[in-house]
Amino acid sequence: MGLLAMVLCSAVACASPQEQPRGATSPAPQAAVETTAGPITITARDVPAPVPATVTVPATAPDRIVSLATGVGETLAALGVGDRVVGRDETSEAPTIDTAPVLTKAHAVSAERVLATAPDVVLVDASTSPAEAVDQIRAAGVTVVEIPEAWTLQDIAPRTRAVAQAVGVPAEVADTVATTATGIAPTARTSGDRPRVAFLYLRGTSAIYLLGGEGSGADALIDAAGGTDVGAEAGLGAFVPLTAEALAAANPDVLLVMTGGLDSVGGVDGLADLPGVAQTRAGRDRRIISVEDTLLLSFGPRTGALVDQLATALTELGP
Amino acid sequence: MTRVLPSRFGWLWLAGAILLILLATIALSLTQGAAETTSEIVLSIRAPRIGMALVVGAGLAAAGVLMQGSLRNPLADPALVGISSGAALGCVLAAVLGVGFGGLGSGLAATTGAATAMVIVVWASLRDGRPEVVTLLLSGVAIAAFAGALVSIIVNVSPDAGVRSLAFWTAGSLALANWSGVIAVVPFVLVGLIIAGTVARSLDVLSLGDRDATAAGIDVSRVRAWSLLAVVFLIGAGVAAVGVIAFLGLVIPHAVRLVIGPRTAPLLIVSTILGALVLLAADTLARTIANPVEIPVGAVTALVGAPVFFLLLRRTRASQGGWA
Repeated sequence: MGLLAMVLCSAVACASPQEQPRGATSPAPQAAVETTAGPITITARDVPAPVPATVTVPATAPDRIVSLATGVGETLAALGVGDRVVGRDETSEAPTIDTAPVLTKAHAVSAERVLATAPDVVLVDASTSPAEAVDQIRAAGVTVVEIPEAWTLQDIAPRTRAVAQAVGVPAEVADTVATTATGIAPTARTSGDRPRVAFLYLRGTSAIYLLGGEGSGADALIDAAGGTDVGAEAGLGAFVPLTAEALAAANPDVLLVMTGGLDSVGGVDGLADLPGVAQTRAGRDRRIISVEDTLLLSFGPRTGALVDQLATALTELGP
Repeated sequence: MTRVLPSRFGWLWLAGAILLILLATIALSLTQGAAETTSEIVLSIRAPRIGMALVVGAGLAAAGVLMQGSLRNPLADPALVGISSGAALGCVLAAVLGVGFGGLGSGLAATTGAATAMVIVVWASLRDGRPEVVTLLLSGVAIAAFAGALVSIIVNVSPDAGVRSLAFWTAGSLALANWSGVIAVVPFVLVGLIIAGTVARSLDVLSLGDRDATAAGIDVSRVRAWSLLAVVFLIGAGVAAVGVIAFLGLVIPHAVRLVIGPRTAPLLIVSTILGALVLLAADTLARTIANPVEIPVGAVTALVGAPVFFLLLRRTRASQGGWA
């Protein structure tokens, strides 16, 4: 369990701006490869933050908000209260909150720095760590609200509502934001031409990689974008350290990776050379989709646009 | 120490038997796995992994023989006394400096790191020119902690995604072994084995004790230095390739000594073959037992090795009349 928690945590951890590559690695031209349209890179620019809602909040609503829950800063911005955010973690990007100081270091919360911002409310979720720091903030008399985590598209609406309620934004505004986030036209693909996609959580050439499965977050995105998640299809859990052979045997059509992870294995060429990857259709033909770390696995206002981008990428790569 | 096999060359039978089992295990390992056994799977995934297990396992076991013999310490193991951590540190430093990972440069850096750790540990454990059993182990704990701390700091603050990912590699895994990695390790292990061959006879004499060995005309410090240099070659590049794998170097020489007795040359040869066999068997288990999930091979070796270490610790203490 501890290992799983750590893995999940570091999967989300990759979303920190400091870890993501600047200017998103533009894929090297793959002139030598015969069939392909890939690799395809999806950056934050492709999936901009939504226009903030115009909102009137009651006078009793908190003025000073600190967001330490993964990706919730973006939700606050979309709800129209980004200007009230006085501190945040590293996992959110939106124009109205970018000026607020980052109060975490390597995903660890510093209670002292949080309290120094004199917050009215602090938003956390299950992955906010260390728990002791959260306890210290609570003990200092600050209102701490735990926001439920989101690992599927269906989780976005309750999560958005929970955020809205915590900061005094009316529920209707939350519902509008959540509908924009999830109101995606279901992609019209029959099961026959749904490409089989493997989400690989990569962490360097010298270690094993993890295959995303059911509950990884990526399974929901892949499904919504019109693909079949290879890990979920095989009945595997969220992040499984897979043998090279098992990946070769699963033979996915497309690989979905995070840009930071792709860099850690030496880019597309490095990935395609890994034992196990090299023997898959996706590896041979470089059918790879890389998504900037902050975007993937943080379900929120930008998820709908991301699914659209993924669907387009899958169409471009062909069945 | 008594030996089970009577004749002077009885160990050859044992070596032959282990070699046969090794060949059978290779054949088994080539045909087992999650994917169908196609020539592509065998050549590009299974074979290099098997090759890596053989080379690294052989190096670790031979290193155990040399350390235990030259330091006259039954508890010596390259990982337990911090040498492997030194290798890991050298390797990570090289990666930070842009040497890359897994190649020849990385192997050289790891070997240098191992040598540095070795010099410090052995120097710290010497008393009147002779190494002490317990001080060696405790110095090793300190070195391992220190090198591990530096690795952890470097890995966490490095802006390079590849370097940061090394945090996971330090646990030890053969999962992503490829041919170029195997080719980078082989020369180091060969050099180590050649040096080991030249000091084997002197190590036999050294087992009588430093004073008797000196009286018999052996330059004890010199034999010790060459033996430990061999150790550094035997394990440095292996650590660079697969991370730290503990206990193999400790357990294998003891198991072999029980059967064929303490003479260094046969002990070295049989241990080398058995080390290759055991790491291959452990790694084959690691990748097939929980199929399709990969278990770190370091966990498999520690599961068996740690209890054995515990027993040896108690026995060594009893034979020395207790440690104050």
